[in-house]
Parts: sequence; structure tokens; C-alpha cells
Amino acid sequence: MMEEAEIIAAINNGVDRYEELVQRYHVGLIIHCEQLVGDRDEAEDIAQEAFVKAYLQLKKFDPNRARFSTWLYKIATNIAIDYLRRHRRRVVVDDIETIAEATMPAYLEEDEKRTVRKAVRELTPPEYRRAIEAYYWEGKSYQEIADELGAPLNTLRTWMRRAKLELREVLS
Amino acid sequence: MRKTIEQRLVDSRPGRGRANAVFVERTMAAVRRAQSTETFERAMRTTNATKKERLFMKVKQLPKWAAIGLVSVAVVAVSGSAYAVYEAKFDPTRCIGNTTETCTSVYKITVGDQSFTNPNSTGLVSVDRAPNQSANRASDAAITEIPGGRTIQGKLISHDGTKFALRASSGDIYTITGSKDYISVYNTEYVQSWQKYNENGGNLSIALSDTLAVAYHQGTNEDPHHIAANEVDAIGLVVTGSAKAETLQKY
Repeated sequence: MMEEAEIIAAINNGVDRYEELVQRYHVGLIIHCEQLVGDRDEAEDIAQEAFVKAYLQLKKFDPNRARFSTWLYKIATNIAIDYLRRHRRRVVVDDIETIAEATMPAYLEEDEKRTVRKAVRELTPPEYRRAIEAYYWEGKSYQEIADELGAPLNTLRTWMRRAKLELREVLS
Repeated sequence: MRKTIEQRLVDSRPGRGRANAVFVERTMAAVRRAQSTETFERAMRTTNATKKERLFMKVKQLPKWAAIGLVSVAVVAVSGSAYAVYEAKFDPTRCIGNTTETCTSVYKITVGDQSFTNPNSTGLVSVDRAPNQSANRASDAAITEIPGGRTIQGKLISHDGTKFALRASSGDIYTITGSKDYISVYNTEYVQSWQKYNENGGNLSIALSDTLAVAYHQGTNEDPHHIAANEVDAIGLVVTGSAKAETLQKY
């Protein structure tokens, strides 16, 4: 948090450090947008637009009031809602916000993170582990992971669902 | 609020590097584009509005005669500048028909020590000592119509008034030295190998009666074309017959 505030202060003073924030949050933000609009390509476009908007409004952002990632995710959520409206999809904002809430940043403690990583490492069969790592940590799309594992897309979806169930049990 | 498994997985991502490098690069490029647009627009928004307002207020407060005077001065200044630009860039007769007068083309190529006689209004220039002709981009005369015409194609890459460096289409670089000829450059379409004229060695001698052209169009004395700066990539070079143009040296 402290380090993030320093980065933002540096950017506002003209230092080129925005890429650090993009690197830090892009994987989660793309997943967040994908949950909202249900399309990977659109999700990447929305996430990109959110990063650009956040950059242009960075001077207005107050690190004492909220975390950068929370602010960034909210910008992305609004862009996603606009996108869904533009495409004449029925949008129930409450539903969207519920979905959005489920993928907002969690801010885990370090030991909590370690526990999650350990649980992922111990997933069986190994395809589950690989699928989770590739999607949540390496920022790959379902299609890319399916290609990598040589599995049909629907099989990959099943693996992901089962892997998450397993993790939920282990981590509960 | 209870954290979902998705939230916990995302938050546990090891390292903070470029997981999706393509996305990061694309995003940073978009950020930089937006940044430069924003900077420009901000400058336009703030500076122009203020300046415009100040100028308007000042003009509004001036007496009528002073305002008219101001406008007149502005008109004169603008038209004077426009004429200067026209004269420097497009005036076709600037260096023509003067005897032993030195003048400078827009390319700052010194033209002098020429003996023109009776420059006529049509066809090629008639001269008594060193025949001088210049290029005209609009002319449809072919190289074959130029007495002793030779053609190469290349790009004029430097000059210092008396020395011209030319990169021929073959890639070789040549200089024309010791020349005080009328030299004019213009757009070119025609390609004829320089090597053809250079096959016997590194030098090409120009005889008194020679016309060396880098393109096939031949201008009239009335309408030479001095190349504009933005045409520099497509220029040819014309050196017309001269007593003083002696050698094209390869280096």
C-alpha cells in the first residue's frame, strides 16, 4: 500500500512508473472484466480503457481514501456497464455489481497468500493445477490454456470448475 | 465480506511481472498516446482561450483608426511574407537571363558566371558560350530532345555551393566539383543506369556541349524548377553543358 502510494506520487510528479501498476493489476482486472461481459477480447479492451482512464485521472485519485486497485476496478466496472448497455444487453446494475464484487481485489495477508499458493500446488490431477496457474496467475485465456494442454475448451471449463471446488474445500 | 475463491486466487499471484506481456505493452502504448493527446488538448484549451480573450479585449479598447492601422499592418506583413516565400520557392525566372550574375536557388546552389544570350520564350535556350538549360518538372520534353543529353537517376545528398554529392540509383556516390553551372533539381521518373556512363572507370567527363540530366524531362529557360524541400526524396539533377563543369568524380 505504501509502495503503491509512492508509485502514484512519482507518476504525478512526471516519473514514468505507470507500467508497474499495469503489471501489478492487469491479470486480475482482465478476469474481473471477463466475468462482467463474458468475452475475453472485450474484457481486454475494457481493462485497457480502464487503465488509460485511470492514468488520465490519476491526479484526482486520493490514496488516503481508497486503494488504487479498488478505484481502478470501479472504473472498469463502469466501462463494462456502458459496454453492455451499448450492446443492447439487458443490464441489471445490481446484478452487475454483485458479479463485480466477487472479483474485486481481496487484499490478502502474506500468510493467507502462501496458503492459497500451497493449495494450488497440491491440486490433483496436475491439469487442474496448471489450468488455475495459467488463468489466475499467468493471465492466459481459456483458449490459450486449452491449446497448451491439448484439451477441448469445454473440458478445460470442467477442470477449472472442479479445481475451484477442490480449492474451496481445502481453503474453507 | 467473505472473499471468493477467484479473489483469493488473483490476489495470491506470485510475482508482479508481465504475465500478459502483449496486453501490458498494448496498454502502455495506449496510455502514452492518450497522454500526448491530453497534453496537447490541455495546452490548446488553456493557452488559446486566454490569449484570444486578451487580444480581443485589447483590440476592442483601441481607437477605430488604430485598429484599422493594425489590421493594415498585419495584411501587409502577411502578403509580404507570402510574396517572399513565392519568390524564393517558385519564381521561375529568378536565375534566368542574367549575364554573369550570381544568384542562389532555393537549394542554395550558387548560379553564376553564365553567359546567356537571347533567352527565348519557347524551346531550348539559345546561348553563345556555355549552353545552359534547366529542368522543368512540368515539361514533357524527353531526354532525347536534349542535345547531348545523358541521364542518371539519383538523389542529391549534399552541396556546399560549388560541390554537389549525388547518390545514384546504383548506390554509388558521386561528386560534381569545380562547377559553377546552372544546376537545377526536379522530380524524376526515368531511370537509366548511371553505370552505363561510368563503365570505363570512376570518372565521367562532361564535355562542353554535354547536357547531363538525372531525369528525362527538359525544362525551358523560362520555367526551371527549383525543388522544394519536401520533394527531396524524389529529385533528379540536371547539369547542363558548361565550360566549367569538368568531371564527375566518384568517391
